[in-house]
Amino acid sequence: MTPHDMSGAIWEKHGNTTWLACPRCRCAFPVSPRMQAPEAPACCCPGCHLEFSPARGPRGPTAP
Amino acid sequence: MPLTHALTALQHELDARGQSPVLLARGLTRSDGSAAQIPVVTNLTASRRLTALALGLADHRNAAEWFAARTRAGIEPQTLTRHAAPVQQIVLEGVSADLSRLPVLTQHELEPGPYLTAAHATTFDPDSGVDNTAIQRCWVQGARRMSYFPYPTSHNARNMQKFWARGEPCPIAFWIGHHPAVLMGTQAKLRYPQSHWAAAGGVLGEPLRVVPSVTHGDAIKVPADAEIVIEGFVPAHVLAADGPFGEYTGYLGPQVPAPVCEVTCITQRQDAIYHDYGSGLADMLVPDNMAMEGKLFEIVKAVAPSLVNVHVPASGRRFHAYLQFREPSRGEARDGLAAALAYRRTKMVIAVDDDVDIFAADAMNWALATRVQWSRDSFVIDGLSGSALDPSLPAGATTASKIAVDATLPPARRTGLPRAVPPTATVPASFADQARTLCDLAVSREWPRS
Repeated sequence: MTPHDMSGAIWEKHGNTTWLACPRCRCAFPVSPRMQAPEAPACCCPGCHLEFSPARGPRGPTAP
Repeated sequence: MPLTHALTALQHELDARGQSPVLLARGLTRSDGSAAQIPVVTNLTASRRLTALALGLADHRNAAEWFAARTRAGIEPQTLTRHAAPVQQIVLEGVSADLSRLPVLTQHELEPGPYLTAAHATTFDPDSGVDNTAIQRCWVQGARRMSYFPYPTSHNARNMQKFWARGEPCPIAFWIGHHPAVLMGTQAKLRYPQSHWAAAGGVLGEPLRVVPSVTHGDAIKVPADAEIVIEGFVPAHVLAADGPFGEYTGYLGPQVPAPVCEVTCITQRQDAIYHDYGSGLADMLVPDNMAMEGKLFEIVKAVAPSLVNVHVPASGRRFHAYLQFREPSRGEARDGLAAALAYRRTKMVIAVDDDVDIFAADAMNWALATRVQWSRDSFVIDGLSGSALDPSLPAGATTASKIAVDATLPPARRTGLPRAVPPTATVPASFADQARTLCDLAVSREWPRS
């Protein structure tokens, strides 16, 4: 870590929530990291109920 | 009024106003415009005062010790035959067991559909046969299918995993609607495996009447006086997306993998009322926090006998707890604080003396402002069990950082001597009584309140 790269500093807040966007209706919603495990079920858009793999959904702000 | 958002919006507005009436709604409309036949009650437990009165407690501030004693003593349940059970006046099996009959609310934006929020899930441990009950949410996805989310460390999840390890579906029944004492008694925090029926009877003050479920018989009994029961199975290792869902933190929990429930039977009273909890609102926080007060009272009293009361304020969600002591000996308040932090849900615990009203936020702030030197009187413990739903947790963290604050006064150096602190500024009791009477008679409503 350089003096200009403080992203890992323990006093900085980074959030803990990963967002996905539905590839069909673009509704963005928070998902647990467990939804991205290989054995996880398909994500389900809360807006249009499209089921999709997390890999297909554009990501919003993502926790490190 | 539609089933989607409207009642929950009303609860949010009432919470913001500090008002807590019980809400009963008839003829709520579905998305297809039809009217639900079953009425909805919600906000049933949003008021601590009303909830305490329903328990038979004249003063809600006495809940902690009362709840601990009642759940510890317990009263064993009484089993009825099926024809005597009001909840089995109507029995719907097969295709008739259609969840769309129920007026299930969609509460918050970004929730994917209607959720059962007051469904008490009852399973049993296949090793011992002992049943367990907990409130756990279900997303109604079809006529006979719903997701079911038991928190991974919950006793119901443990029961379910035992069935799954045997390659068997987990039998389950969800019961909805009962006397507030039963709703709270079944939320008592117990060991594993330990049935909640006796604790519910203890809080109710009489045996809880139970009846064998239609699908599972004696293996899963359900409260005979409940309003509605949904029976079914949780098939092994079948997971589906569940959520986002409004949580007690006031934020939406993320979408998670959750088991599903295949419904076999719905039973109900002839005049059933569907019970809904406003998730993350006072309606849900008040009863759960009162049950927490009972659990914390037991935990802390065991190591700090001078504990006299506990308050888990709804404003702190489930994360804050206030402990009140009467003349604790040296070290005792800190012992109590450490014990309270060990309880998974707490994140900040404050100890005060019995001259501080732990139900008054102003009084708590006064104690913090005047009785604490932070480096001396607070301690942080990292790596304790916590809630994964805490939005402030670092990503990937599985444990929490917690703080305890000792805001008690120092003890007297010797018995009979005053404590070495300044006296509080007071007026003589006779003048205080006179002033109270004067204000009751004369104070104008037009005067500023703050």
